[in-house]
This record gives sequence, structure tokens and C-alpha cells, in this order.
Amino acid sequence: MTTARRRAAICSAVMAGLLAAPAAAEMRPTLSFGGMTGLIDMPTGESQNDGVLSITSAHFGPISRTTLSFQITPRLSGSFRYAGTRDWNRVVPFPLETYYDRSFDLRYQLLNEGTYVPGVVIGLQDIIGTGQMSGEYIAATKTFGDKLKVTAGLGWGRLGSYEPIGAIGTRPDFDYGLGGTVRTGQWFKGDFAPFAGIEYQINDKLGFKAEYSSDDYVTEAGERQTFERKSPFNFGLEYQVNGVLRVGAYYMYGSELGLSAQFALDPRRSPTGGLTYGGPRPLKDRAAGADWSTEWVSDRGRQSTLRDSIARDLRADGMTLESISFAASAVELRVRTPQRENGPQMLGRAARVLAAQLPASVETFRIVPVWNGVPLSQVVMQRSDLEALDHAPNQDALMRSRTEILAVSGATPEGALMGEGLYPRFGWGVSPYVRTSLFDPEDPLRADFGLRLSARYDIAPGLVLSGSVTKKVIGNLDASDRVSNSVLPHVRSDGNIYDREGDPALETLTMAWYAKPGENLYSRVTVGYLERMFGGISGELLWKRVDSPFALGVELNYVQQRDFDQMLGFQDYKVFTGHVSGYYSFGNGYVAQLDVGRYLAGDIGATLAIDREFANGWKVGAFATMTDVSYEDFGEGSFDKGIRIQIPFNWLLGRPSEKAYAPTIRPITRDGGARLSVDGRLYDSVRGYQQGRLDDQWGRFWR
Amino acid sequence: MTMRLAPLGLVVAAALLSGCGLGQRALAPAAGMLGGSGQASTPAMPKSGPGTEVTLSFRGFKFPMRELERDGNVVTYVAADGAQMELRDGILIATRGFGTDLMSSSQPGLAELVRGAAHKRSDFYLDGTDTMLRRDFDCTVAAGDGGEGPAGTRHIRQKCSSPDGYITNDYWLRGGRIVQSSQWVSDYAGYAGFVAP
Repeated sequence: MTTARRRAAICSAVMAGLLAAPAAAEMRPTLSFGGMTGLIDMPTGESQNDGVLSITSAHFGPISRTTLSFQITPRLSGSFRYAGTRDWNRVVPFPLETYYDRSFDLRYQLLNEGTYVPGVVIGLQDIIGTGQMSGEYIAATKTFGDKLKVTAGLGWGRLGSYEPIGAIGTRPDFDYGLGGTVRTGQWFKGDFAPFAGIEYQINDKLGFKAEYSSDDYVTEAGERQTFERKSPFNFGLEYQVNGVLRVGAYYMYGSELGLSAQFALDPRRSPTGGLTYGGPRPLKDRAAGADWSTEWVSDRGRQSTLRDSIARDLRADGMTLESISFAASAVELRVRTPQRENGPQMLGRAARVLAAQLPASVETFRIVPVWNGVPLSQVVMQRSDLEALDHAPNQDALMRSRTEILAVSGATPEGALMGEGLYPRFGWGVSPYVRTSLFDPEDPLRADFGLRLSARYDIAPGLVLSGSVTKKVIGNLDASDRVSNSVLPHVRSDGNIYDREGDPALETLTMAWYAKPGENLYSRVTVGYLERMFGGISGELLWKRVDSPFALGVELNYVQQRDFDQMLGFQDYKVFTGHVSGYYSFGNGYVAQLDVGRYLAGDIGATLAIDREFANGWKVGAFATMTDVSYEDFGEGSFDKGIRIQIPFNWLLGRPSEKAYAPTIRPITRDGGARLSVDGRLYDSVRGYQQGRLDDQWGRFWR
Repeated sequence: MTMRLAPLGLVVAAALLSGCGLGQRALAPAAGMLGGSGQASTPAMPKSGPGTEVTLSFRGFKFPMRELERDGNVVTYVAADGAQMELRDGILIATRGFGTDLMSSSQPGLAELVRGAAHKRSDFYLDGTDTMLRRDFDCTVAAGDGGEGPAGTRHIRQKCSSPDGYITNDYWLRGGRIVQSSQWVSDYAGYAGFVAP
């Protein structure tokens, strides 16, 4: 039996969920048409597993909904939805045949299900959009045995529109204006109506759902007559294709057929079942009769031989030796590591290389991870601890407790041997790219596919000349002829002109200089074509202690808007933009960032961003920017906000990769609150090899 | 608005296809396209030398592993794709490259097992978020009825229970040495059977 088949068999078993023993089988919470945890069109009193990110695409009759949901904490989840209703102009005039609408929901698990208590969720639907989907609910769900779940609840707003049984005051009208503002005044006001449903697990793969819906579709079915709502009952069959995909077919409201596809990604369960590539080189113990003499230290020839063999072994593990300095009982290794690879795994593998190569007298390993020529910390470990803990239970926690992560000097130690052939050094690559445009009412999903040629020239440690050129292969981004109506300088809202005219495009061409001016200080200066719309100069200074969850940064930029063709020319608009940034890592992967300063359009304000980052590199976050631009001047959406996601390919593939799927999704991109997009910002890279982040990821030290 | 958004479904589908279901040779170009550098040195399986035949019983198939390294009484075995298993006196203590790996574990020594002493066992797994999960077991050891083991061997059965469920490991000994066994690996890999050739 080949190992490839072994791997394949493990994969398929994982996806089938057949190896879940000894844990008992459970009915996993499924998703509704609206993309939140629920039945068909109604919510339930359950939540997804912590961290689950899902995309649901659901369609019935004239209605299509695509929803991105994230279980933010074990109890709190959020959903961002894009819905289209066709035949909108059937009886009431409307300029377009399809009405598109964005909405955002929050739901909170008030009670977890117990032996006698049902799970209870309180939810707010469409809290900042136009209010078309607006509704609130309380839903309770109880599981009976391992096959049946029963849900009952009360809904307000849209979810209280069919056969209400009571009312709390009257629901105030809401003038949504430009959208984007929160409608607290309506919550749990007006008529309320009951809803209910069941979910029955027929077998491992197949589930049945039935519900009584309290949504009357007043606008869609009544006023606009896009479909006929004949009955409050919905029925559906859902099939779990694998660990990620679930599909369903439905009979809706006594008149329409429906289909749905649910993609649910659980950061705890990678599609490949985990890391499927091979183990590290075995840790070499010093033999009992080893030569403990220290004469080798004065032998410069022996040292350069050692450096070369260590550099070779590090290269095999994807790392680059920057420098190494030898003493009789200690070495300091400065090493460049792959950016997206797990830090502790790289440190562990570097330590194995040192243990395999170095004479017995060396007891202390100081490993200094280096990023763009800048040392980030020194990780100090004892060789005898490595030897003692190899094969020991709980070895990762024990090793961490005996490892120090300390501040490091920017200067290479005197007498260090430098890695050979590193400077100057040229590298290049070609990779595919995808650029999309979402939510244009005329065509909500447009995309370009093309190739990106990137090159990098490392001139000296920290001094990098790099650039990238893109060439579209196929796509329809150039079909957008929307003219920006923004009253602000068009710093972002002319994006479609850049798409149309920049083919091919000089995406970036910069000279960057990274340095470490003080023990806890890091700096960057970047000059050139910084991003596709702006060029100029960008400078950044970051203060970050190796042992502190707090960091402070300053960034100052003077930039000029580039020509639409993205060649060498510039337009007239120039701006001085910059921010003071505070960063705080709360632990458990939650990181907050507050930027205060002047944005690209010259507006002044602040951005708050909160991200949840897993040890495997998954990241899901949200941000919002308020500036002195009025909601009216900002235009549709009122202020800049969005969601950002990062899913590393090494998690998807189960093997090393430097790529990630990392979209930022904005309901709408306008000119207010826009920041320069420059490569090489310091915080994330510096933090990656310091206390906190290394602690979170330490489980892979021995991998 | 413009952004870089590869359709997630496609990415997931590509990853599923490339990671699972195709052979390793087919995987390489797919991984390259998605940015897989394949840059992780893995000690190769020696062409000859002592080894063990491993069966992952959930799917009932076999592959050989050979001895990569001997450190005292711990032997590290490696498969053709570089995946490793560490056994101490024939008792599995760790894996590398089997999905949610058993990173380390506290297992009884062979002498303790043979003596039949009740003991505690802790397994340490790396979950999909790269976070360490610990599972603690209470174990008892008793003589087995021979089961499917080879003739002329002594059968020892280890039963371990945890709040999540229980596992049953079987060891067959000849001359004080484990010659065949069936041992729990992880939720993902299930049980592994080891037969010394």
C-alpha cells in the first residue's frame, strides 16, 4: 500500500467524519437560508463551533442570499449577507429588475443547552443595512436523543409579520438615509409572532427539516408580488457531502422550490485532517563518549565548515542562515524563516540542525529570527533540555518553560560569520492573481484573473528593491462604467478606472529600508510606487517590547495619486497622510488596533480594528473608521467599515505554503477613511517572533 | 469596490482535491499552483534495515515503516512519505505526519505493562488550530485471551477510559518483547496495528 494512498485514506476518513471515536456522534448545528445557524428560513437556539467560518448560498423563487458568517466567540456570532430579489419591478416601477441589499446580523447564545434546559439564542437581524431584512428573535432549541431537535421562538419585525400574537408598542419607522447606521430604536418593538420547527437526522449524511415561518414576506410577496406565499410551512432535505460542504433542497411557502449550499470551515479541522508532511530530522543526542574539547573555537576553518553545513541543513528546512557566531559553550544563529510558517516549528527545526552539527561543548543555542534583515528576538535554549525532553510527555510545555525569549540587539555580534551569497541576491516568481469587484448593483460579482510577475533584489541586510507587474488574462472588471459621485478627492472610488486602464500594470516598484534603531524600536522607509493608486514615500517607526502585549507605532506618508494606467506617471492629487497606532494583544488570539490620524482624502479620524487570530494563522476581523467627513459627504454606507479574513494555504493543504487567502470585504468602498496600502508594515511581522504569539503557537516546537 | 477575493469554494475544492484523493505525484503540481513550496525537509525512508509493518485498521490497509533513528529504547520509524512514529519498547508514544498528530504521550514502560499495574495515561494532540489538546485516561491492564495474535505469544490488553470515551490496546509479547500490537493513535488515524517482520 503506497503512502499516497494511506494519506488519501486518512483524508477521506476525516472528511467522512468516520474516525470520531471515542467521542460520541453528535448532530452538528446547521445553517439556514439566511446563513445563520438555523432551520430553513428561521433561526434556532444553537451556535456553530467556536471559530467556524461559513459561506451559505441559498435560493428560492426570486430570492437569492449569499452570507458570510463567523462564530466570533463561543457565544457571539456575526453574519454579513448579500441578497438579491428578482422581478422587483414586476408591479411597482424600479430602475433595475433585481433589487440588491446588504445586511449584517449579530446573535448571542444566552443559554447553552443542558440536560433539561434548551439552548437559547437572542438575535438581531439586519442591524446596520437598509432594514429590508430587519428583525429580532429569541429562539430555543432542545435536542432529543441523537436524531431530533425541536425549535420554538418569537420574532419581531420581519420575523413577527405573519399571524402576530401580540405587540410591544409600535415599531417606529426608520429612515435609513445612506445606510450604515445602527437602528437601535426598532429593536423588539411592534408585533411579535411565534415560529417553530424540527430537524431530524435520517442517517449520517441526510437530514430533514420542517418549519413554520413567521416571516410574511410583506414586501416581496405582497407589495412587489415577486412570488406567492401560500403557506407558512417549509420543508427540506439536506445532505452532508463532506466535512465542509452541505447541500439542501426545499419546498418553500407552498409555492417555490429552493436550493442551498453551505460551506462551513472549522479552523480546528483542516480539510486534510492536519499536517500530512513528514517529520523533522531526529534530535541527535551528544554521545556518552563525545569529544568535549573546545579547541575547535580557535579554528576559523572548522567554523566556516560548520557554518556551511548548518546553512545547507537550514536551507533544506526552508530557512536561510544570516550569520552565526561561535563560542566554546554557546552559539548565536541569526536565521531568516518563511513568513507564514509556524514560528516555534522553525525554531525547533533550527535547533535540531544545530544539535546535529555542533561540537559537544556547545550547550546554549541562541536562535535569532530575522525578518528583512531585522532581528526580532533571541530564543535561548539549552541543548541538554532538548536532549532530555525529546520523547517526553508534554514536551512542548516543558520546553517552553525552559526557553527564554529575550530582546536582541540590532547589531550582528562581533566576529560572526556571515551567510554566503545572501547580498546582493535576486529572486523572482510568477503567480496567478484574482481581483474581484463585489456588490455593484449592475453586476454584483465581477472578477479578473491574471498573472503577477514579482521580483526582489536584496541589496544589503534590510535594503530591498522589489516590484510587481500584473497582466490580466481574462475577466470583466473593465465592464464597470460607473462614474464616482464622490464629493471627496477620488482616492479609492475611481478603482474601476484603474481596473480598466491598468492592463498590464506596474503594481508596485519600491525601495525599502528596514532597521532596528533601538532595543525595542523597529523602522521602515519605503519609496516608490507603493500601491496601485499611490506612490511616494512612507516611513514607519514601531515600539514593541519582546515581552509586552502592547505596541505603539507612527507612520507618516507623503504620496501622490498615480495615473490610471499604472505606469510611471502621476495625477495632480498629493496628500500628507499618517497615523499613530496603538496595538494590544488581549491573549487567546484577540488583537485590537487603534489608528488615529489623517487619511488619504485628507480627512482626520480614527480606525478601530479587532481581529481574532488562531495559532495556525487563521484570522478573522472587523474594522470601522470614523472621520470628520460627514455621512452625507461620505455617501452610501455613511462611513468606512469591513471584514477581513485570512486563511493560510498551509492549513488548507496540510503542507508548507507561503500563500494565504486573505480578502478584505467592504460593503462599499468610498473615499472617506481610506488608508494607504503599503507592503511591509511592521507590527504583524515583528510580533510573530516575540512572546505571546510564539507562546500561542508553541505546540509545534517539536513538529 | 475592488479587492482580491478568490472564490472560497474553489480554493477549498482545489485544496480538497489536491490534498485528498490524488496520489502524491499528482499533488505536487497542484500544491505548486496554490503556492505550496514543499519546502520541509523530511528524512527519507532508508532503503533497507529493520522496520515494522503498520496497518491503519479503520481502512484496513498496510504500509511499511523503517527504522530511522534509535535513541535508547525509543525507535523512530519513517514511512516512504516521511511520516514518522516513535515507539518506546514497541509502545507508541508519538506520531508526525498523521493529521492531528499525537505529539507526545505518557505511556507505561514495558515492565509496568507486563506487571499489569493500573496507571494513568495522558495524550497530547495538535488540533487543527495548532493548539495542544490533552486527553487524560485511567488505564487497567489484564491478560488477554490471545485474540488475533500470533501463536505462542502472551497477550496483554490495556483498557483506558476518559470522559470522552475509551480505548483498548492489545500487545502480544514473545520473549519479553512486543512482536505485534494494536494501539490507539488519534481520533483522526484511529488504531494502528504493528507487526514486526
